[in-house]
Amino acid sequence: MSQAVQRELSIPNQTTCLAQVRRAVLDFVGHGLFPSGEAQLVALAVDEAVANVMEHAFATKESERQEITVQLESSDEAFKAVIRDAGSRFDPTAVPDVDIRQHVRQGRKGGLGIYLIRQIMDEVDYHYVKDRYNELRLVKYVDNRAGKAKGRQPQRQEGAPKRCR
Amino acid sequence: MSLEDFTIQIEADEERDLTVIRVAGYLDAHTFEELEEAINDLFGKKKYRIIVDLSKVEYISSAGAGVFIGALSEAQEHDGNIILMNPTSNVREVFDLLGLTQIFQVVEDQSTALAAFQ
Repeated sequence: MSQAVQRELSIPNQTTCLAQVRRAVLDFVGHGLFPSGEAQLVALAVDEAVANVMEHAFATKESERQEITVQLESSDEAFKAVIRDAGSRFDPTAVPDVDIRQHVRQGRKGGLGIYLIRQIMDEVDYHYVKDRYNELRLVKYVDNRAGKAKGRQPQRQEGAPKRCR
Repeated sequence: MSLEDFTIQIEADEERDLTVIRVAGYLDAHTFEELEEAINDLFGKKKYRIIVDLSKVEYISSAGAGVFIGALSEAQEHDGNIILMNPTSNVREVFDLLGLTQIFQVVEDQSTALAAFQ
């Protein structure tokens, strides 16, 4: 990616922090990289990815102190989010697409998050670094709006808030 | 309204044997359980005819949509329904992505929702 802009945030494994994740993504992509509606969907996709980590990789209450890292990166061509956690191995890309009618009939809710992520993002890749972390990479291409991102200055912001409220 | 705000308000219409749940704010993996518990409480009282007012929902994730998915079949098994009323454009887009607008009755206003229960 050329003219990359990056931001990284680290949040504790608490669902109350999802609002902070959405806010960070909207701040990051909401200034011309994508139109407003598309920016909202990109924030939703990252929210879903982080919520999946909280539900599956860190499934126990004891893990509330565990942290999830969300790295955001954009260029003229694309937005990329990389979500890393040191929880149990969990590959959301292995979850099959949902049959929504069957889900409703059976009252099932599983798999909806990754289904939405696949609908919104252009690329979804997972890999597991043994005994270290899960990594999920989401990419959304900018298509013909690359010009709007030009002129942004590279910057890097890091923070590790311990609580979200 | 901040990105964390979430409220639900429950209005019973005993005359029509209906319940209107007015949801406002951000319905995500942090807040969905409150709505899920409210619907389960209604089911526990044998209230299966439910209108959900979504006109003030700023944001919904799959966890929020899952509440309706999880509840619809139980409501219908008891001759009830869950009707989704006046979703904001953000919410409707998520419903469209999930295919829910083809499964749920999504109506624009309360009079249409009431008529659906006639």
